[in-house]
Amino acid sequence: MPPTPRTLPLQPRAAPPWRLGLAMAVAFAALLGAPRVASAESAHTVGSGPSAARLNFRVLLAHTLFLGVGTGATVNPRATNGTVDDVIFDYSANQNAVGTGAAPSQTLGASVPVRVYGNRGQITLTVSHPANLTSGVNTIPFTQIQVTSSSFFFPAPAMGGGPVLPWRNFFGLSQITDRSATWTFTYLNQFNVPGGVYQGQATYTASML
Amino acid sequence: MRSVAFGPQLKVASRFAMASTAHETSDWIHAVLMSRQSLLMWGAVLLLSAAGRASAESTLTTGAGASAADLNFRVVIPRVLFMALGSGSATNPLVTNTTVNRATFNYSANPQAIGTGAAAATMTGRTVRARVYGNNGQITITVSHPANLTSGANTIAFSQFSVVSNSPTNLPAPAFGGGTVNPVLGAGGRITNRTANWTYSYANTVTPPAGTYNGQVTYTASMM
Repeated sequence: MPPTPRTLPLQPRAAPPWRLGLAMAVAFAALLGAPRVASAESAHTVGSGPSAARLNFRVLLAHTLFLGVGTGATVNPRATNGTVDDVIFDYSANQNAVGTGAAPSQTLGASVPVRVYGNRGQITLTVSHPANLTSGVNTIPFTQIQVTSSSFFFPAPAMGGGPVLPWRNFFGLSQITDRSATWTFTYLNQFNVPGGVYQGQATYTASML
Repeated sequence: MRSVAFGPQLKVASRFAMASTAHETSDWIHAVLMSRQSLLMWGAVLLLSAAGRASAESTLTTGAGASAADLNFRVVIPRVLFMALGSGSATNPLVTNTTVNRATFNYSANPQAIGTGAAAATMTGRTVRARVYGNNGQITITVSHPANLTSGANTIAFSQFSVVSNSPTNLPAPAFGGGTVNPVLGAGGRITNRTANWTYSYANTVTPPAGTYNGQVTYTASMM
């Protein structure tokens, strides 16, 4: 009597325990050794029956926080920009207005585009600066500089003031914040100060949970 | 479960592998990211990565942490020096005014008083508002004038005139004949902003021929 031919199973069988352990070990090794390799499964079926292979997809969106004040605010895509813009109030042509509260005859860069973007909830925006703009030993308080925002949803923190909270998208319901505005700076000009070029730098800091 | 991970997220990835549902995975992410060790680690990473970027106008930060942008401010205040006597002193803001006021001592109504030292019957404009403003340190005011007021060939010496200030300390008036005064500086030692009324008198100790004698005095303020 001829030997009975060996038949292969038509349906996948439950994996024996040793195969399960092997699979876990392989998976663990893969995690440690090749985290950047995408995983694709393969199945070999002999005979009739389905053959399935699974593929996992994952999109990893890093926490992103962007703050641009000035030129860098208008760049798309968002990127770090090392240029620091200048806001200049120049009374050289109307020196008689110094200390009167009047605006300077020449103002440069006072309207500043700003943008804040974040993807992980509420952003807090603060401003820090020294107490004064300085010209040698002479000073002008930083609080002489005022700011207004063109957008209710993206207010500007006042000099010497507390933080502001830009509105998250969809009226504050989204985890995403993407706000743009124009901040306009003015100089109060309430003090008779000695002649000079007074300079100072303000740093705006956005933080997100 | 696999994860494409990098850097400090390797630990997170291995914990992902232990989670069986997306919900658990999310919890793991949260738990790991918010653990104290992780926060310290993230803080250190961010401090290192933030170094040298403090002056960036715009900053894109990936991962947790703050993003900073700087803005420079400049206020240009020119050196200002203002001196006014008479009408020009009343304007605000300070502005150049070319009107030259006149102080008149008229003896037409009391000619018998000429040369007696008595005051003129009619005097106009002899009390004059003076103002000096400067923003770059000590101001010095000097007065210059010709030797005489003249009426044709006849003269009256300018030294016949005197002046007093109602603010003799802060804004004294320089005396005729080359006087110099230093108005008192304001607090801080750089700004001068003084006003006063200067009142002129004619000594009337000489008897010149009849005539209308005119002369002009120039006050000059100088500042460093």
